Amino acid sequence: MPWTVIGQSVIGTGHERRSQPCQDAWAWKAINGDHLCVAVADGAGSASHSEVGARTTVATAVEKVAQIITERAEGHSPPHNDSMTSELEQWRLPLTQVIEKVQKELKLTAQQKEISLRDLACTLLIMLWTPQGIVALQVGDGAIIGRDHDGQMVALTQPQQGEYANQTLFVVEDRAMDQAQFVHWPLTGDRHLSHIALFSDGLQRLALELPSGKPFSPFFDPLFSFLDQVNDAVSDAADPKGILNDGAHTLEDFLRSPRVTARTDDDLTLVLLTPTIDLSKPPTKNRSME
Amino acid sequence: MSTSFNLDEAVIFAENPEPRCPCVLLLDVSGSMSGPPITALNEGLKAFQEDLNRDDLARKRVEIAIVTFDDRVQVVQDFVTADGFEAPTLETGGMTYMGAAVHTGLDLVRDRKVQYRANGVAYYRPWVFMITDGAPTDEPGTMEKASARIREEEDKKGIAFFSVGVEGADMERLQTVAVRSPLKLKGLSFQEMFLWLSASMQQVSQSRPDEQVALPSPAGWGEV
Repeated sequence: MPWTVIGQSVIGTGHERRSQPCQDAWAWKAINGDHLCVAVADGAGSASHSEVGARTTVATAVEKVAQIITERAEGHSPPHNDSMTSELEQWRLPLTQVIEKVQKELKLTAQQKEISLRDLACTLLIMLWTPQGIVALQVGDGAIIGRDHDGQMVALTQPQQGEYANQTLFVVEDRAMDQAQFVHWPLTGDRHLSHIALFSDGLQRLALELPSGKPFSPFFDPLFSFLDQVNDAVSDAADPKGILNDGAHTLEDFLRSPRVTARTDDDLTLVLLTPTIDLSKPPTKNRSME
Repeated sequence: MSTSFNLDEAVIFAENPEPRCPCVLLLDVSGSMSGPPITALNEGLKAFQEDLNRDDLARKRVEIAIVTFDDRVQVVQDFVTADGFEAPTLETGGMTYMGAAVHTGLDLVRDRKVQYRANGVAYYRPWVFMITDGAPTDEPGTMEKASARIREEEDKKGIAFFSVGVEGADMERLQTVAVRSPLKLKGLSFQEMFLWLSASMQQVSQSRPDEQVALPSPAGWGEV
């Protein structure tokens, strides 16, 4: 079951002014045709190499998730259909392994570059779509939200902040997994999620009603309508790649628009995704977007 | 197809308050500040107001409160965002009730944090910035209690307390007041000092998730 995924990381005007690089990064991968993993990372402001940290983090996270799922499918790992354990708990160990792998990669990168681990500090958001449900894991701020078939918004995660607006939790910290938000949203119940968005903290105040953290529908509804248009066009197109590229450009133009940059000068990442086949209807044809 | 979709017009933003960056100025207006020092301080405050307002985000995020102290402690300005701040013209009086002023300043910060939390406003670590040309002349014990409060707040990262000594200030005494070393103002370069404070506040008010903010060097106006 493929998905349509559109995302962009754009540099904030504040970073441009200070000649800093974009410290956000994102990555995604469809695995075995029935799993989708998306990761977003936001590099810490004063960490000197956090753009490297963010890129390493998302690439490692997505690859490790893919490896775990592939090994399970091939029967190398114990199956996760133990009915005594909840879906969420069945994902705790694998995702702990993902965080540990990310931390290990970051330590290696720090050694190679002769910098401290702290210089690579970044947040991490992971969304994993499985046939049973959606797993969301978040270390730090930003959020993962969804919309169900009735158009109701769901906050899968919320921004994690300290007392101050410029404090949060980073994936390089030992306590990262213990303090991470970790949720499972079943797709077997009556509240199917049809659309998901992941975003970094730069969009928080535009996309959420704070302090409750409730997703703001007038922000997401037009974005998801746009995603549906791209999705429809992709399904009938001879050149789906070109359409996805156009869609990514439209998203980039939006994130760089004066209306957005007047409200936030931070780096911005926004990833939108929806299944190519409407889950509420019987599947009609198979589509691939890769 | 996708180019026909105008996200810029369609997407509506949530209305959330800007995160706030509070800054309390504790200003010595004792008798010895009269003449050129108070004139320079007043001009510095105007420069502070103007410079903060040149930055679109800082003007909505930086909040200023002013407490003056001589024989009495006065809240000349309760917290106001920079875009609503009008620099006052201060006049000088008698003694130097510094300890009482510190208590008043810390009370303002404490109450403001309560208001921020009650209204769901995110905020940055508050700054308290004290300028004096003398030494405390409070009732015995008041300054010591105030210093203990500063240390306690600094330890739990509740505030950042900076002190600046103008010519004539008892720098050794000032050293014992706060945790951070006091800076000595070069001559009457209040203007340069307030421009530095404005630049620092702009940095802090736009800092991204992280604890350390690289502040500009105070070398243009102060020395350790």
